[in-house]
Amino acid sequence: MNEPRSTPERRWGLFPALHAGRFASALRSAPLTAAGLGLFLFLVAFSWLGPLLIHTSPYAIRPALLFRPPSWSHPLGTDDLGRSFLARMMYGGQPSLGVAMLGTVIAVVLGLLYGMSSGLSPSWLDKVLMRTLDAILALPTLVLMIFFAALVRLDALSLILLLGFVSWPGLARIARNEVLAYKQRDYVLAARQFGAGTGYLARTHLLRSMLPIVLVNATFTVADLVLTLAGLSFLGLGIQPPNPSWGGLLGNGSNLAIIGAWWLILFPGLAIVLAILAMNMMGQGILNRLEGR
Amino acid sequence: MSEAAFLRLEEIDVRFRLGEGGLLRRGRETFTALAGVSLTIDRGECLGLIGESGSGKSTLGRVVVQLVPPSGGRVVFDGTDLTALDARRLRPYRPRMQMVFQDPGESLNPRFTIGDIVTEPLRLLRIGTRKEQRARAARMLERVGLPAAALAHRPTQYSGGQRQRIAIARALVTEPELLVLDEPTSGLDVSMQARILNLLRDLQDSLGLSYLFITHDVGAVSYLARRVAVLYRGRVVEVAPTRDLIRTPRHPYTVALLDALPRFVRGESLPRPVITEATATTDEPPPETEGPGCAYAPRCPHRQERCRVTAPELVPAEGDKRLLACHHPF
Repeated sequence: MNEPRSTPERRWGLFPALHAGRFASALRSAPLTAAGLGLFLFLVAFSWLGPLLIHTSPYAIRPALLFRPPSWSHPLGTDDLGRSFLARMMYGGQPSLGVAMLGTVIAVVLGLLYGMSSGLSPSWLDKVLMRTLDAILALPTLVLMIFFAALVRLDALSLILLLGFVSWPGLARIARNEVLAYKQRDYVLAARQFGAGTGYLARTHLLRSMLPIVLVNATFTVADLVLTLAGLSFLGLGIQPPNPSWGGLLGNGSNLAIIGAWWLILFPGLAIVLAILAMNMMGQGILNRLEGR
Repeated sequence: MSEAAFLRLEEIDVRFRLGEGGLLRRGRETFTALAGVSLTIDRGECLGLIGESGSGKSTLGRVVVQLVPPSGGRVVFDGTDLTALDARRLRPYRPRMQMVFQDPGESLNPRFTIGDIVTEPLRLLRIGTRKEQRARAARMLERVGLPAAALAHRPTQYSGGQRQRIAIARALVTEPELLVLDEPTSGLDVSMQARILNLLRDLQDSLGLSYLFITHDVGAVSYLARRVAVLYRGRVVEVAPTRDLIRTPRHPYTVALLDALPRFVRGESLPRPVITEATATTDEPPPETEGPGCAYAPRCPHRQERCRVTAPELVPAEGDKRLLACHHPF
């Protein structure tokens, strides 16, 4: 009898990669994921820890300091009302990143529920649910968002719910395909033979098997929602002024850049690009690992 | 066939609906996986089940453990017809019969620890406390030749042979009386096959288990089984004591199956299949739709007019020693 190839000391449940030592080595072997995660953590620190360091209000209007370009005293310059653009960028990151992440959580939960139910339903019901999903997917997200945005008061909570509700169908389709791929596996049959019910199989075998691919698509969804939210804010349908958000800052800056205030579009544009890049790098990194590249 | 058989399969039919069918249009065509299969296994006996791919061997195993509901027929286990029971009343019978699948890479979830895998039947059947479940799993692992420390590991850390031991430990953890072994050695290399077969024989002796041993490996079947049934396209064509079946096969399909095994021929240095004109099967593909006659007739070198018209019944031959379904056996 051969000894096992390696000997982990204990088990780590759903997330074996979260064991500190393994996490570090996993990141070393996946530089793309590590770079994406680093960039993402930088943006999170910028948005949530940054305000603690600078003690400057993003709302304080200073008529004497209009349109100051970046300098040592105003690192990212000031805007059309003399507000510190650094502070506005930092506070603006909170809704941009937070709404996208929490919206993704809602989308993942809804997508998993719908997709797994469909994959585990009898064939006729599965077909009905999937055709319904096709119909929902056919609706353009941005148009749908604009429609809903006209109906409700826009704040962080309503935006989280709206973004969550429009982005679950893609995840539902992925979840359903994963269920179909795994539900005929021998280990699922073995559990059925011990009397396992559908609920048990969904919670344990199926969920654990599909977790990595769901994680990948969740990161892509976050990137997608950062962009969607920026687009909405740009159009004035997102986070409402005077509260800052990257998309809103970009929209405001686009009117002012023509008079030379280039920093008012460069920095919010850069932040949005970096956020999307970070999430896509993470997702692609995990995907590469899953596919053994 | 004894009346008090431990497991009695009576006229098992399994038909699968072919094709997806539309939302409103149900698929009409069916595929007959098993047709009127009757077999018995005595307590402590190992019955071998051989046949080519697609003959319905695995389906029959799944019918026995109630994974596939038969379209017709009864599965009588220790005097109770399991097919008549609903899920709740079937529960007490679940621990008494277990299955070992062909590929342990497929039958053990790579995301579970071995402890979770081996205790899973106990958790699902609510047998014992968590602590007792772990203790039982550890005992079973040691029984199949693995260290109890393996409980904390994952199956991907183990070789194919070791994984099959884990699968066997999981099957044994509920202290079953009947094991369905679905090609348990087919995915293993030869030396590992021998070890697993030894383990299975040892377990059968010490625990008094009954086996339904499904395989296409005639060597393995002759090592483990005292009696063998031959399945062809969902029908039992011959049942006989292993030794008799191998020495004097009587159904033309059994003859062809055994002749297809490479064997040493005097004067030649390498083994080869010995297919003679008398036993050669024709290469004619099996017909899509089945006629009324013998299922083997289209490929049988000895077919006669009668074979096309009436299907032969499985009837005793040579006293009670053998069952045979052929109009003109060897």
